[in-house]
This record gives sequence, C-alpha cells and structure tokens, in this order.
Amino acid sequence: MTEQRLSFQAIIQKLQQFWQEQGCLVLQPLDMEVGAGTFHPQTFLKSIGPEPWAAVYVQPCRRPTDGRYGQNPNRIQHYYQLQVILKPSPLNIQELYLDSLCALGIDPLVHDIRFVEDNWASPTLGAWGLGWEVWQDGMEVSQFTYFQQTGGLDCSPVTGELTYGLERLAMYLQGVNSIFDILWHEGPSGPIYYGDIFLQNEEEMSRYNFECADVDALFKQFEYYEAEAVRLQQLSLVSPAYEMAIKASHVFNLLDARHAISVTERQRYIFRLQRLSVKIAKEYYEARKDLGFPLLQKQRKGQQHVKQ
Amino acid sequence: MLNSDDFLLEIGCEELPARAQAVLINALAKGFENALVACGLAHGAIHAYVTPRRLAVWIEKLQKQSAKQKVERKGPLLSLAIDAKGKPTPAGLGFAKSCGVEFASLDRIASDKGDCLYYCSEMPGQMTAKLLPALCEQVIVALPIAKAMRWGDSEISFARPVHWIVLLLGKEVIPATLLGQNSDRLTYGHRFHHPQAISLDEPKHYESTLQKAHVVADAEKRRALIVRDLKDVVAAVKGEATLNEDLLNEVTAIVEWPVAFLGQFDKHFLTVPHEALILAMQQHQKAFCVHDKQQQLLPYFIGVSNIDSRDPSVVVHGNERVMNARLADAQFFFDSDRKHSLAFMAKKLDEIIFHAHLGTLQDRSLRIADLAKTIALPLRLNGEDAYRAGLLCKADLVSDMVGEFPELQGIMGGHYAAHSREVPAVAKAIAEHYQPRFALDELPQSPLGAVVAIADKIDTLVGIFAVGEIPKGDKDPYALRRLALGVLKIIIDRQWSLDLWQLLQNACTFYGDKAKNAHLVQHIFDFMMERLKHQYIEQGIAAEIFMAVLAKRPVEPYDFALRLRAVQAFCELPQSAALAAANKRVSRILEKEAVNLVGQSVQETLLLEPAEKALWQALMAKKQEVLPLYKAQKYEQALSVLAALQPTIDAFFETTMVMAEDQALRNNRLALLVELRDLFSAVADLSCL
Repeated sequence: MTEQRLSFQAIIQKLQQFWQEQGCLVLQPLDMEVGAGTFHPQTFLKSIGPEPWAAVYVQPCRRPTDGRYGQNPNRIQHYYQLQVILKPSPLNIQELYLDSLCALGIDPLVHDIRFVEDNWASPTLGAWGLGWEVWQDGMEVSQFTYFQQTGGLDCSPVTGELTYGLERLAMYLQGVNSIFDILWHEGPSGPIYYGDIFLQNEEEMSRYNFECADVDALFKQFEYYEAEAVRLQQLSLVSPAYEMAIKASHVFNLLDARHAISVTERQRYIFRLQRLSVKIAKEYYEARKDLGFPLLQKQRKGQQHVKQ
Repeated sequence: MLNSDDFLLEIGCEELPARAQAVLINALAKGFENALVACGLAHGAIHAYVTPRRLAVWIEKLQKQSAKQKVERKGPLLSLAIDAKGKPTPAGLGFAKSCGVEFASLDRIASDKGDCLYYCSEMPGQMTAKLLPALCEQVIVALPIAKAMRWGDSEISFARPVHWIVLLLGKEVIPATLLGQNSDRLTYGHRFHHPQAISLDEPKHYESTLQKAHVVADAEKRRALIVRDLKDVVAAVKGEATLNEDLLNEVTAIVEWPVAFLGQFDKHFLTVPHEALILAMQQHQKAFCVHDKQQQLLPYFIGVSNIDSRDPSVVVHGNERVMNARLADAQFFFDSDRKHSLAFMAKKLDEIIFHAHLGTLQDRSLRIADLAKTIALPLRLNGEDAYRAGLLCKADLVSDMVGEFPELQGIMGGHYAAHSREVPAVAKAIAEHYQPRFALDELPQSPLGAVVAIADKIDTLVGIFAVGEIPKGDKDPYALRRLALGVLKIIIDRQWSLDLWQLLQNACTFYGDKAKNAHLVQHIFDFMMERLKHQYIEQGIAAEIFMAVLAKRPVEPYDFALRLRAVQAFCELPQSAALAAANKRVSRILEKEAVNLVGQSVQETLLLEPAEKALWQALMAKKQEVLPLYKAQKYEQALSVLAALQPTIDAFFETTMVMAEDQALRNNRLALLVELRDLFSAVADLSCL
C-alpha cells in the first residue's frame, strides 16, 4: 500500500480547508516577529471580552534560543504553527480536532492518539489556560488549551485554542527524521525540501541570535518599545501599543539568546512585559465595550435572521 | 434488603489530569459515604471507578427511604422565656418561631439551671430518590480540584469539561442537573473503539458494560493488566521492565484500554549517560525501561498505548522514531558539552545570579569549596579534593544537558568531571552532592560526597536565612526544611563528630559582610533542631524524650542521636518512671534554692541519716563507673548503670528531710541533690520525662 505523501503546503491547505468548513475565518499571519501564534492580535485581543470569534491561520514563529545552527534535526529558531481559535469553545471541540486529523489521513483506530495534561501559561501575556498536549504515537503534534485568563482578565466566554506544530506533523506524516527533509512541495522541477528553503537561514540566524546581535542597541530598543507601548496605550491606541509590546517581547527573546540577562533580571523583564499586556488588554476591553461589542451584536442579528 | 436499590453516579468528562484522578475518586467515594451517614441512609459496598474520561461510584443496596428522625431542641430558661405576668418574652416567642410552632404548643423540660422550653417532633423519612440530587451536588461541590477550569460560555467549573452524567437508582434515572448536564442512563465507551452512546440498565452492570466497550473502568485492574502486559511483552528480549511506581500510576491514568508494546532504540545511544536515557524514556515519553539480569540498560522500551491498533506496527514505529529523536537530542547535548572541561564550564558561573543579595553561582561555589575543606580536614579526608569538588559541583548548571534535563544536575557534573580527568573521588562527590533530593532519597555514598553535600546545604541555609527569607507555612521556595534535615541525616548516618554550631559559624565567615547578624547561627541552629524534632516524632519517638536531650543542647548531631537512643532505652527500664519522678522532684527543689548553693559541696561529716550516707556512697561509686562511659559516648550503658540507684534514691526521699531546720544540714543535703542531678543529667534532662 503506497500512500501519497502529503506535502507541507498540502497539510496547511487541508487544515485550513477543514476549519473553513467548520465556520472559521481563514486569516493571514501577523507581519511581525512573535514567539507563538498566541501573540497574533487575532488570538490575544480577540480572546478578551464577550465577542464570539472563530479563525484559523498559520503563524511563523521565532524563538531565538531554539536555534541550533541548522545542526539539530528537531530544533529550529523559525518555524510554523497553525492556529485555530474558537470562542466560545464548543462542547465538541475535541471531536472537531480529531476530525481535522482524519482530514489529514490520520486514522485514530490505527494511531495511538492521546490527550496528555499540559497546562499552558504565558507570563509575558498575563495569560494561562488548561488543556493537553496531543500525542500521536508518542509525538506531541498539537497543543490544546482552554484559555482561562488573558492579559490578567478572566476569559468569559472561554476561548479554545488549537495549535498544530506543522513541522512535527509533517515529519510524522512524511516519515522523515529531520525537519530539513520535510517535503515542502513536489513541483514541476522536482521536490523542494524544507532545508532547501530554510537551512541557510537557520545557520545565519543562529549566528546572529547567539553571537552577533548588538546587545547594547537591543537594550535601548527594549526601553524604547516599552515606553512607546505605555505612551500609546495612554492615548488609547490599542493596536499600536500592542505592536510595541510585541516588539519589546522579541527584543527580550534576542537578549535572552545572547545570555545578556541574568536569571533574576529575567524575571523582572518578564514582569515588565506582563505589565504592558495587562494594560493593553484592559484598554482593548474598554474600547470594545465603548463600541458596544460589535461582533456580539452582529451574532445576535445573524441568529434573528436565521430564525426569521 | 427489599427496600434498597443500587446507586450509580458517573461523571463523564474530557481527559482528566493523571495526578488528579486518584485524589478526585477517593474524595468522591468518601464524600458519598459521609453524606449518606449524615442523611441516615444505610448502604452496602461502595465501588469507585476512575479513568481519564470518567469518575464513577456504584453503591450497593442503598436504602430507598431514610428513617424517621426525631428532632429535639432545647430553648431558653423559663425565667427568661416568660415574664412576671406570665406572658411570653421576645426570647420565648423567638424560640417558638424558630421551631415553626405557636408558643403555647411548646413543652417544658428540666435542665441543671432550671426548667426551660422544649420542642420535639418527628420528621418523616424521606425518599432517597428525592434526596439524591442535592446530595450529589453537595458531594461534587466539595471535591478538591487543584486547578478548576471553565469552558464555552458556561459558568460551571470542574477539572475538565463535563459531557455526561449517569445517575441511576436501581433501574430508574434520577432526574437532576449536575455540572451543567442533565442526568440520564447514557454512557460512552472508549473514545475511538466505542464512541457511540450505551444505555445502562442498572448500576451493577456498569463495569461489565464498559468492559465490552473497550474501557477497563477499575483503575486497580487496569494497573494489574499493565503490569501483566509489561511482563509478557518484555519476554521477547530476555529482559525485565523497570517497574517505576510513579510511572505505572501515571500510565494507568492516561489509558482506558491499555495495550503494551515493545520498542527499540538505536543501541549506540547507550554510550550516553543512562540517567539521561531513563529520564527521556520515563518522564518525557512515559515509557518503561528494560534492563537485563545484571541491571544493565538494554536498547528497548515498553510503551503503553490506548488503542488496539488495526496496525500495531505503525504505533511502534512512530514511538521508536520519537524516542530516537529524543535520545539523539540527549546525545547532541552530551557531545557538545564534552567539548569543554568541567573547569571551563565553572568559569561561566559568574554570569548566573544565585540570589540578588548573595552574589553569583561562582561566589557560591567558592564558599562551598572553602566550607567543604574545613569539614574534610578534621575528618582526615583529603581537603584539596573537597575544595575541588566544591568548586566544580555547580558547573554542570551551564551545560546544555542540564539545561534540557534539569533533574540531571549533579549527575551530569559527575560524568563531565570524570571525562575531564578529575580524580574519581571528586567526580563521585559532585554526582552525589544534591542528595538527599527528596524525603526518602539515598544519602551520598562516598565520604567526600557527604562532605560536599553538607557544605552545599549549609551554604544555602546560611545565605537564605541571612537575607531573611525564612520558611513560613507552606512557603519554602529554597526547600530549606529538606536541606536542614538532609545535613542532619548525613552527619548522623556517617557517625561523624561534627560540631554543627561551629559549622554554621564557619559558613557565616565565608559569607563575610553578607551574614553577620549576631543571632544568625542561633536561628539556623534552632531551625535545624526543629526539623530534627519533627523527624524523630514522625518516627514515633516521644516529644519529651527529644526535649530531654535538647535541654542539654548537644552541638554534634551524632552525639544528639546517641543520647536520644540512650534515653529511649532508659525509658524502657522498669526503674525509669520512679527515677524520672525523682529527677523532677530534685529539679523542683533545686530551682527554688539555687541561690544558696553557690560553691557548696557535700561534707561527709554532715551526713547523719543512714539513707543519705548510703546515697552519697552509691553516688560516688557510680560516678567512677559512668564518667568514662560518658566520655566514650556510651550513654545507654551509663544510664542503665545509674538506674540501679533507684531504690537508694527512693529510700533517701522516704527517710530524709531535705529541708531540715539546721541550715548546715539543709545545705549539705541540697549539695547532695546537686551531685545527684549532675550525675543523671549528663546525658539528658531526665526531669523533662
């Protein structure tokens, strides 16, 4: 029995297709450096307040400390997450998730699929939730979280977040042992692999992250972005303020990779970032409230429409 | 019983955290037991079931109607309930109202303070079916959920989202809404093998019905199945599975239908330290290790899946691939770490802050090294090796392997020390210096390991006490209680003659200005003695025995332990009660007369009574005998020698008046008592007993 190997881009397409059919908007990645899909305003901000939301998008993620100069088959500093946001989390969210795996050709009566407790917290976002890592034959392929707090605010209703580790899923589906051997796409001029696209980038970015990033300049940038975030938030400019907080967060990650921040200092920096998130979350909530939570209104109208 | 029926509650939910399951199910069963007692409902056996997706209780022969209950209430005294004109007072009327009756219908009853109002009635028995919804609610609300969560747009919270509730009494569904779900008789089988609803006819068929739907509901049975399967599977490779208890419990809690399988990993990974391999297998992949008869690790692992796969080889290959990737990661870290010597890594410790006020890990390493040397030298151990081990013991904290597997701190240091050609004793000491890492952990095996372990722990204790972060309640972020006890256990186990007070003082010296509070040593010493007390009490030793020894403030922990053992043995002697009483009496008398006794010694010419003469002679004779015993720390023997004095002492108190009229006689007798006390209390203050 030979199976058609799903290419990396086909996996993305299938998942987006699946979630689109479940009523999700297909959104696009955030055009900024983030450590996880959760930072995308379509997750972080949309999980605040009572407005409903359902979206799917791919988010490129950067974690400077995870770089291995392209030498380690399982770790890279730039990779992709596919993020699904369902608010409120439907009661059948686990079944939906499992159906999405079926859509990729993963048969749960063949593979061993497990929900293993994993409680998630992002101190920088002032956020935490409960949920699982999803294991497929011992490999963690997704994170599954019920948000309980975002930016220090209680989540009501609760947002369900599904995060697929696309590279891991692809390695599994394609049966390869290195990220760099993932088939991205089989084109007219032959196969193009992940390594063809990103290996050089990994080598260079690892050098930059660990060796060359200008520490003094980064410290100054951190101060600047932090101050800007506060200033903009005071002007009630939520989105620009949040972008500044995201930039500060990435600069912090770079400083971390350069070992420029000691253990105790580290806690203090995280706390500073968390303070920004909490302020911005509150500001966003107030702004949406002033607007009368438009998406909630829209949903009510939609339901009336259906009834008529 | 004819008027009883079986009861079943099942809470069906999304995958519960493994560690929470035992806690929840025990609380659920206990909660029902208590609640039924409170309602006066008799019942038969209670069976508790827990899987990742359900908590269930089946109670046999639950009484269908509660017994009639007599309700009695005593009210205020008549003198307060009725005024001078014979009219009920507000207090009297209030009582009647609270009983829900007219004042006139209340009875009277006598009490020791006089007659008072009295209300008595009989509550009819209630139908169990009517009581159950509220009772279940009450039991569920009281469940100890460590981390509760909400889901969707509901305000209900539980350990994980709840999907169904089965609530049966006999063959009937008890209508109720619990945790947001309406009760029914529908349960669900295994998530993949049997996702359809199953209609349960009656409680006693619960377990067998689920068994047919690929769910082993009884956790104990699931555990036993896993153990059996592990043995079956491992037979293929002439090995044995390492049955780690924690892992077995965890695996039992993440499967409903266990299917064990044997996996293999690349055998060249066996060159990586086995501790790292075991950790990756057990902790990260939740798989069991396999070893041969000589306890050598074999390149296999046993996973436990939750599926009877249509193609088991797919599950095996998938797990093998993940395992190989994990181990490759460990290999990668091990190889890259070994590009540098441990001494080179130690240099990087100046970049890591130990504590904002206590300097870097390098400062700490230097202090540990100095302290280790001062401990080693009087014990005739190699001081230079102790210093070296102290200096390098924290170096592995900058290694990639420990960055990835923090649990391997110390252990990796030992491996890297050996690789860096440090002497074997130094490598061993580094590997062992975190021990004991938890309550029942082993102590360091090597003398040098014990030395560095003591130095490391004392350094933390002194530093953290110096900055005032003393443990309070359940807040002990530096685990100072465990560290304190660890030091004491090591010293006592080694039978080392180490002066704890001096040790703490030395540690303070190495902190310089950072630890100069005058009472610091006293505080830490007292804190450590408190830990020792807890430990001994936990072992079943009476607090008085501990306090008797503590009163002598022995500064050497091993000496403390010897005294304690002696007093314990002394308490077993037939004479001990009388002697303890005599010592109490002596100490009471001397307490009052302390001022008059300065410089007083016994003069034989003033001894008049035969009993006091006999006591004096006996004391002198025993003194000759026990002084060398005390010196040799043979306390138990010394006390049993002294126990022979009991009849002589008792005779003395019976016939001799200590507080004689004559001042000279009295002082002489008091001086005799001082001799007696000093002789007895050399080991412990027996008057505490």
